[in-house]
Amino acid sequence: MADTIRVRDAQGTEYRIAISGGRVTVNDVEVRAEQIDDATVRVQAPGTDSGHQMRTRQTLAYAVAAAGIQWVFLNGEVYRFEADQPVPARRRRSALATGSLTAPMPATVRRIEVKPGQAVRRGDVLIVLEAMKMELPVRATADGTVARLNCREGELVQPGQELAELQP
Amino acid sequence: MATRPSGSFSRVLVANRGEIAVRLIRGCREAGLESVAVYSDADERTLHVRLADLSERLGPAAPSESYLNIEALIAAAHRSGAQAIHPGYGFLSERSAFARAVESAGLTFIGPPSDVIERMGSKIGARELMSGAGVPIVPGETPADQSDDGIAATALRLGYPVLIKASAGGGGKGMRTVEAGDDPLPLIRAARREATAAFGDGTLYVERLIEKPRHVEVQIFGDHHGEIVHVFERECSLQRRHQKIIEESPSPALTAGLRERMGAAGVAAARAAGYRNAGTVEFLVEGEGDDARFYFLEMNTRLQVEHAVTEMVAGVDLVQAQFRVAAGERLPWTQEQLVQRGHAIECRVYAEDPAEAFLPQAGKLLLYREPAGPGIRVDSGVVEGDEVGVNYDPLIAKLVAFAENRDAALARAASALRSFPVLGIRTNIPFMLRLLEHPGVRRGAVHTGFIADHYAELTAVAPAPPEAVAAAALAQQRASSPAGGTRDGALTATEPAAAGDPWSSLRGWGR
Repeated sequence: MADTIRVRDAQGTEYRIAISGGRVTVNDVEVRAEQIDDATVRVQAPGTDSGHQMRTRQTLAYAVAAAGIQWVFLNGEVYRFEADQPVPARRRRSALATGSLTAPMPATVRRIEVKPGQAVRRGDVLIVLEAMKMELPVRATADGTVARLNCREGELVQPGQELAELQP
Repeated sequence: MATRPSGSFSRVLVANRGEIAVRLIRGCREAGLESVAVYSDADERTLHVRLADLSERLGPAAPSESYLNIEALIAAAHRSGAQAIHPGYGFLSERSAFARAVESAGLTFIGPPSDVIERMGSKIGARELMSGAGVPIVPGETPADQSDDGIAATALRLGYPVLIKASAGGGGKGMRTVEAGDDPLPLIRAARREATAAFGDGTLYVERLIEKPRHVEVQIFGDHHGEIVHVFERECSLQRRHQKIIEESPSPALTAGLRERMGAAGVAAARAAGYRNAGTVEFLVEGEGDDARFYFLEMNTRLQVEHAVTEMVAGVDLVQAQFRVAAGERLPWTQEQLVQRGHAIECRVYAEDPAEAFLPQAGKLLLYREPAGPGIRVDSGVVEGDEVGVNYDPLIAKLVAFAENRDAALARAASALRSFPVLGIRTNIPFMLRLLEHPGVRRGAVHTGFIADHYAELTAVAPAPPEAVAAAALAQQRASSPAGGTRDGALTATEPAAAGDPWSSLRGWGR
């Protein structure tokens, strides 16, 4: 009986995986996999695709899963996947690059540079967070108006917590 | 001011945390000294506390209430019966007030005398001293007019580009580059805020920026008997945000002649400062070959993060030498006995995401396995299952590879990084691997702007190979299967045992 699992990588690419014994089929590629311990898997994929180093050789992958996130270490690279299943919104950790107005990590609100109702342009600094003795600016993701501020100066904020809302 | 060490000691308080506390506590054990760990509420169960003979709580997690709290540290030393304090690096290591408090309490400070720290801690004082001793310096000053406009006027006079930095400290905190055409005022204000937050002192220093310099530093060591030696150089040009991430010795850029001149300048600098114990003289190097020029940057009056590369190539133990010199003994080596052999490279493993501008990361180390093998040394302060928090520096480990030549050391370091799985939190391991394999680094053609110049190619994302996807799917299957149990579950299961461990609950035992 084959288990089917879907995961998404950090770029949003989806993979459909079927697991049956020691054979794992990723999309249409068959990978041989042998669990060595708790977190270590010996993996071997066929083919001689020059795009991936050591593809034809067996190698060790390290993988752990927690809270719907799968982390993999393979040949010095780290890959982070999310299981394709509903995840509560507050668990979705937003990165600075995606531009959401959320705290990227636990931090203290150092300064709030804008007021509700103020017009801002994409890239303007709205809020300055501080963590590990460094300032982390939270910038407007688009031109718009500050609809709401959801934090106060001095407040300790958690990753994913929405700090401000913008209206187009 | 202590001009003589206060004599021998048998119990040392290590006023630090993380990998350096672990390294120092191990050093104490090797020297037959008892060690006292200190900890904040965030660190009660960390490795350094477990390894020490004794441990003392300092206070809440905030550094100002724990590792930066001088009174709490002196009180912990008295309570535990420690006769000496090693400050490590960072935190209070370069605060003359701390060294002075240690001396006044009748304890031995394992480092230079407080007046030397004070003299070298003032960038302007240090530069004047070095200039007088014939050591070349970069044009710059601490403006007497410390207003934003006063700083801007000095920057204009020195000529752009300039570097504005905290007069009180290093480590890239409170540092800004101002180019011609930039509005200097917001950059000055940001530098001042960070300087105030990091060092409690917003005084700014302005200097002309030497473009594409190398950062090469000289390890120096002095004793209480007038002897000062240098233990060669470390090349520390690979930096991000003005913080080093990869260091090596020897520097691929130094000719034998330049090495000798820089070593002599390091010794002259140490002598002018009245230096004792381990210290580092940092230089900027401009140009190539025997014609390269070097400028005094600053003196770090402590053990450096990257001291291990020196230990590998010189075959010395700087921490053991620190203990002996602090106890009044002579330096264990003469200049003639010291030789530089082979090549060592250090890679600093940080909890940070290079793809997100090196943003520090916090979270649990779900998997953490250190590499091992011939020529591999790992100095770390964490174990699997530890929580990396936001209160302190995100350095989790230092990987040092030693081999007979530079190419072999690069290959060994890269191979070890490929066998260093850290999961649950982003680290810079993949980034450092790309850096080690970059043709520019292979050639040794590095400068302090190298990472910034090659940032895009160093952080390019490769698609996940099917093997990685397969491993992810298997991990997810195990995590969600009722019989398999999650890794979280496995970690939780070990906690009650740790909580009941008498060795971790009997604090101050044996006092």
